[in-house]
Amino acid sequence: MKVQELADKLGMEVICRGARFDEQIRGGYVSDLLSDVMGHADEGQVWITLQVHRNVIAVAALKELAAVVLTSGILPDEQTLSQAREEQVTVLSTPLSSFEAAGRIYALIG
Amino acid sequence: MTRFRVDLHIHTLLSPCGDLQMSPSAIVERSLAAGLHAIAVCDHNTTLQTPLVEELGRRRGLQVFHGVEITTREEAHCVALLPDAQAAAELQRFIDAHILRIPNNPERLGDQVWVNQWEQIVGEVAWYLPSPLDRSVEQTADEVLRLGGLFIPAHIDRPANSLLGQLGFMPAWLPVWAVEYNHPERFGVLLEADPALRAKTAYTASDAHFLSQIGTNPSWLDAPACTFEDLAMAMAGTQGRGIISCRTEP
Repeated sequence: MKVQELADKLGMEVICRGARFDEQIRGGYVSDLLSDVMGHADEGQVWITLQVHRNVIAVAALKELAAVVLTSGILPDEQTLSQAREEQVTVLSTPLSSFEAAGRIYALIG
Repeated sequence: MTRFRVDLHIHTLLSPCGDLQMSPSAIVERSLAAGLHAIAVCDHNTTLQTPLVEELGRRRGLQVFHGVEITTREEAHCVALLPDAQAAAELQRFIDAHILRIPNNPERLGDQVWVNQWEQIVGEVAWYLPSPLDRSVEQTADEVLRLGGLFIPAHIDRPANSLLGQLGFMPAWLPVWAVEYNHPERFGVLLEADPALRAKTAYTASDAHFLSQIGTNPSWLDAPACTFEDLAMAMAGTQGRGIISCRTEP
């Protein structure tokens, strides 16, 4: 499934459309600890988190993740947003909790 | 008592976020120009560059404390200030034994090089320095105290990577010598929300990553001299010594 399809199916808002928007998703990872993602996430995964610090974008770009899914309706601040645009990282937003979002995404792509 | 102007949190070029101009000699010169009597070098999870800063500082009459900004398992940044190079070296062994080794990516994350007194690069750290240890904040504090050091949660008023930001509260049982904050207004808001925090000694520091930031958020140490022991007593508020910052400075 592509990032765009996932966003459509779950009704997620596209906060930032990045370079990998039309790519296939290879899995998912749930963590609010950036170091955990740096150490264990894999390329092409969607990262489900409620962290909105700008370093989230740096980590997502570094690990070549498919997209960042921000949960619980938490929106990124201006710094994070401009970083996302600059790094061309896709950021999606959902009002679902991380638990619900992970469950639904897993059901679709797991 | 003398009032010493201090900045207890300065990075060198070794930290990936530290500007490449933050060489030991530049830090010493800039600190003196900023009117500081003492500084603490606190790179992320490393003390490699500190001995040179201390040596150059000593020649110029600047007191340099051995520090390090440790990332705990919870991704909380905590400053450890050590009594001497030996304690710092031992803490470094602890850090090296417990840090999660993620390869650094200098283009994306920053260079991690250290230099000699002639500003020539003599080495590079291959793993991402701000990575966390596999030790909790309590385990880290215990080790720092075991070595005679001072354990200080860093920039606690910051939402990211502060002990309060990561845990949501200050563990009451944690052996904290003092807390470090950046912004008086933000810290004031925290104090309103958590009265227990008021009991802790609190001070500001620059957390300088660029030369221009050195000494911008200083604190004042009231003590007969500017030794590590004086600093410890000042944080404990004993023997007539104290440490104050812009919030309380008259």
